[in-house]
Amino acid sequence: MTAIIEARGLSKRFGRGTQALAGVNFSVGAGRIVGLIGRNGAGKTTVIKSVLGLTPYEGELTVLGKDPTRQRDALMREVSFIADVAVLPKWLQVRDALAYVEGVHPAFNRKRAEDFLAATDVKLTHKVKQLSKGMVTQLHLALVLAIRARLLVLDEPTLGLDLLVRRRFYDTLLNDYMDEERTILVTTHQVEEIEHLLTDVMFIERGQIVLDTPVEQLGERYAQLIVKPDQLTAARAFMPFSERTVLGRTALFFENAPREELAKLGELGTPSIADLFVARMQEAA
Amino acid sequence: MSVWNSKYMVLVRRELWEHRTLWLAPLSVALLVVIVPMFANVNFGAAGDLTVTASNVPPEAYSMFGRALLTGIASVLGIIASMVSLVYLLDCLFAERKDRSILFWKSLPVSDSQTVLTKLGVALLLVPLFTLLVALVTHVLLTGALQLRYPSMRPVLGLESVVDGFRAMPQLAGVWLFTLLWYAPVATYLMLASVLAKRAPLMYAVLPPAVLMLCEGLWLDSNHVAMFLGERLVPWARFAWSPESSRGTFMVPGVDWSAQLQNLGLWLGLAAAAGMVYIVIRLRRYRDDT
Repeated sequence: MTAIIEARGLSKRFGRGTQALAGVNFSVGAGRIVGLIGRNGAGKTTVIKSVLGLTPYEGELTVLGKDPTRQRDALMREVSFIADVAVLPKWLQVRDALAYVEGVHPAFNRKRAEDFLAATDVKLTHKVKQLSKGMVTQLHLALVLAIRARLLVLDEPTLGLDLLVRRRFYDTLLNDYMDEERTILVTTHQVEEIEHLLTDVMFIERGQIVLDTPVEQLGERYAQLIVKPDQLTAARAFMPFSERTVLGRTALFFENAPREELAKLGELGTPSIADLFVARMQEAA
Repeated sequence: MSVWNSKYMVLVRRELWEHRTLWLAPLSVALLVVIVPMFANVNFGAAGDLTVTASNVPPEAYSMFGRALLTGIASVLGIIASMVSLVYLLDCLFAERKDRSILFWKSLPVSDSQTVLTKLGVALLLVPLFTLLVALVTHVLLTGALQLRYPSMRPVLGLESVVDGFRAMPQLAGVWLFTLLWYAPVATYLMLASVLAKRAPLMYAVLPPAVLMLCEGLWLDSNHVAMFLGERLVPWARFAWSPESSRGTFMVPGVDWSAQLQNLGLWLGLAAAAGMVYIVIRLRRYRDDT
């Protein structure tokens, strides 16, 4: 597996105070769709900005074999990103936005962007200030998805969008954009929406990666057991790291627990990423 | 891909999309300069003395009128263009941070040097060239307009005066070039204010020299800062107006290049400008603007 992003001891401190990243190690392989999941202020955006060469950091970081700080200009030919929604300037006309990106980016396919926009309400003659927030994001997505980049980085790409637009965006991402040569790093706190498309998941909390695993291994490592009150004590004997009681039934979360024996006590399954995230965060709290 | 869509072209076009006043302002004023005399009612004939006939017009008068007209138009348009360029330079690296669009621009393979140099080039090369071109066209149109509107002016405003105006172009362009070289550090200083400002770039540009002047006046009871700024901002007084070269050329004094190229102030200014451009690029490149 070729590493697209390789971070060793990645650290970042703001001023003298907050430690935004505390020596983070991780590796992102080619063709993966990695979800970086964490609460507000956990360090997600700092990871993203370091990867994109937008902020100084300490430690070792290689993106596509390059140093994102010193080789940023070269890196931007192969990386595209949406670091925030609603950053397209108000005065920009849609037609001009296409012309600009076509002019500066050799890997931009204008036809692709136009096709994407044709299915929306965004017209070429519109200016950004005339568009709704959702339409601006669609324009931005159209521009970015039409760039054949090896790495696509998305920081909360669907923030503030309605469900239909969010769904369409993720569908486009999976169906039209993704192939085995491309890698996507995406952050969000709307975990439920992206969990079905991720190949890997990383949890970040207080500047540290607390979980980093391929999604297909989640089932081997984690178990969720739903039990009725009479089995609760027996289930607790297997040392769950977290539990949650809803409507009289309790969901317990286990790591590396004997599945056969757990299965005798209640409904055994694999926790969703969202449940796992909540459970992990409760444990950390 | 056509030239129109090439990288440097779209970089420049992008500046003109955002700052439309850069070309709209000189064009609008030029239009006014041509149109207003058409509707104004200046009666040259009634003044008596100004009544001229073809026979009593000395040949130099054609040349004088042509040159005076072109110089006048170029000055008016030049002042307008300078003003909009000044606003542009103050805004160009501030607006992108204010509306956070820098995150979009920085997501594309355009280096910070390319961005900064494009903006500087727009202010120091493109706008002056465009304005000079507009001045030329305006000169021709205004000559025609005045001819139609004021028949008594015909003897001095004609093809000869237009051609003579054109002949004065190299001199005029020389003065503009000198002015631009002289003001290059001012332009880059404004860019520096633009890239540094958290809000109100104009304050960032004006406050440091103002405070320096005030402190100097209060504590040292001298005015070196003010003198320096005066020399820098009003170069004509000491440098550009060389009386010898302007004699006999009517209104368009030439630049004494051999003297100016030995002027240390000019070179120091250009060196300062280069230094400031470097700082501006580094700041846009390495500072976390998000």
